[in-house]
Amino acid sequence: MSLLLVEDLEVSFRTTWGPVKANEGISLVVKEREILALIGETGCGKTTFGKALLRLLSRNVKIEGKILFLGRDLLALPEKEMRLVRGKEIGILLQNPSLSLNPVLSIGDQIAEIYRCHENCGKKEAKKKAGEMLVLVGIDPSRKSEYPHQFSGGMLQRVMVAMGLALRPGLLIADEPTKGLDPQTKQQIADLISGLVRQEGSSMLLITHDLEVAERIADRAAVMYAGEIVETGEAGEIFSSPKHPYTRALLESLPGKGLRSVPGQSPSFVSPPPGCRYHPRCEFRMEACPKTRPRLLELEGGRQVRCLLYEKKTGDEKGGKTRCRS
Amino acid sequence: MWNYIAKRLLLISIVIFGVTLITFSAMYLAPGDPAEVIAIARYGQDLSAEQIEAVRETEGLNSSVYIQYLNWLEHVLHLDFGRSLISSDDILEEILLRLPATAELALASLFLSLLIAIPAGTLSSLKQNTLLDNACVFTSLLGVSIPNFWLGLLFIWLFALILRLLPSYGYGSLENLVLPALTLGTSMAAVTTRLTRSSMLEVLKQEYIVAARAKGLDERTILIRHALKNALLPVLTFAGMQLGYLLGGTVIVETIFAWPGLGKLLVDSIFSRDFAMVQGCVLFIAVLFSLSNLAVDILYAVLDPRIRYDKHD
Repeated sequence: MSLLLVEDLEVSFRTTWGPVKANEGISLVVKEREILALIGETGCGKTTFGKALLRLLSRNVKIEGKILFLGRDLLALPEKEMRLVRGKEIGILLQNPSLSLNPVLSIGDQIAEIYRCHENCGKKEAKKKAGEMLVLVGIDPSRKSEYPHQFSGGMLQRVMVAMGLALRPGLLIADEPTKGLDPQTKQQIADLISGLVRQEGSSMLLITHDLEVAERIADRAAVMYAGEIVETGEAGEIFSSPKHPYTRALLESLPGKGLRSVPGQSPSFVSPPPGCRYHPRCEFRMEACPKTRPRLLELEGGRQVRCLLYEKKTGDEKGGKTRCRS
Repeated sequence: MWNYIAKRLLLISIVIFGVTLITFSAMYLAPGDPAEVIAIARYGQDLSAEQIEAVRETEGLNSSVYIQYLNWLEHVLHLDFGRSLISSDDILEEILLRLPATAELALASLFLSLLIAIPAGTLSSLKQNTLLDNACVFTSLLGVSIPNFWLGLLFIWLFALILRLLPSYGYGSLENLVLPALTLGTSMAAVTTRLTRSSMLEVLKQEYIVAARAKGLDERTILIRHALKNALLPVLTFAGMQLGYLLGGTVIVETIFAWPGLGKLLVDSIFSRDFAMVQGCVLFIAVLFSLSNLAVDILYAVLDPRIRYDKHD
């Protein structure tokens, strides 16, 4: 059953150069007890998508489409009710813990205030619960009176996890939770988050550019390019047999798989390329690519791909592979 | 922290030493003969040259400058600021007598300025680029541009002459305090409002404000606990510096309203060439200013956990 159903989401920023669409026609499903990884390179619109779900973007942003959470359209909720969804039903780990924690409040207070606000707890009880949360994420609860600058990056991310999961939300949005961490800490944090999410029976939308982390913990994956979803499917299948040329290029950029960078640069959102947005960088470019906007095609096994290569031979597994470099 | 305070006190004493040097030499170089001033005070306008010479002799004014300076310094170190050349009152006693009036005015106007500036600046930042914000910015620009002596006269004209609500000068009752405090308070509020506004705008852009919203906190908690607590740090520093300045006596406003504070004492002493009193006042004000700045720095460390002087100092 789907916990979160996003339909045709469009996020545009009003700028001096006119509206800039950071997300376009995004449809995604996060099922119950599932970890969905949203992957793509920096600047492709992943973070905007995550923040748009909780309506955390600034006022000059227009969000259209539907965000159904347990059947309710979050975009139609009044701000007052939306506030109760935040933290309580959907938690979010924002990027960059060191900027997302208030420098003048102790970490214990920053966790405790969630309970005080949502559950009307007394000071003492909120503090006790905050301490329990710290234990859960592997921080010595005696450090609760310390301030963010006294923690390392990995520890700060643990604090963020404690805040994000404080009220046991049904869905956790984790925006680049492993960014800027060393490989060992990265694995620990990834395992910690996925472990807690699974233990609570919650779901997670993992937003990351780190393919190894996505592969390690995600059930399904969606690949985003220039504000659009270009491929979705079971995580295992996407990583073992990518279909979209961009996904393929992305995977080949991994150290273990060739360390080849994706050629060219990510396109500008102000004037995106016509037709398929990936065509200027694509190795399999055809004549039709600059002219036709590809649809998101449904393939077998719940796989979706947005590429003209598959347009005629829907379901033909070999379609793309014959063109693949060996 | 104690280490830091000790270090700062040492630095302050060096500054104060510099202040004594400068005030003493400035007074020495100023036109006018201290012996003559004393003699006039003692014997009236009709003076003979012998009388002046006699004063010079008894007051030690004929010894060399640095001997005079060292003499003075030695007395000051024993908290003996000497006696007024005019009234022969003990200088320190006179200063301490005037201090309550100055402190009263300083605290009242600082309180008033913060009472205006913090809500106005906050509101202005929350409603950025609206009519309200523009009105706030414009009014504070006006406030910064209007000099105190003119604003004071304007208030006297309006409240004392036209409306006949408040006394135009004097000291003692709360009514007397209103106009001088209003003059100082509103003009300080102008700067503080702008500072609060820009500081709030900066803080509201921070990611931890988004994070606080993401936790589902209500707007009031976000505003007070997360935004204001950070945004008021620079405002506090500024207010502390202003307090140091105010405690030194606000020369112009105290003079306009005949407020018997330190500033008035200083101005009167300058006009009557009471060199000893001027030196005493300036020294006292310098000490007060340095100590209040130190107090602000200490308070800053208490409020901002990132600042711990001993670790990096």
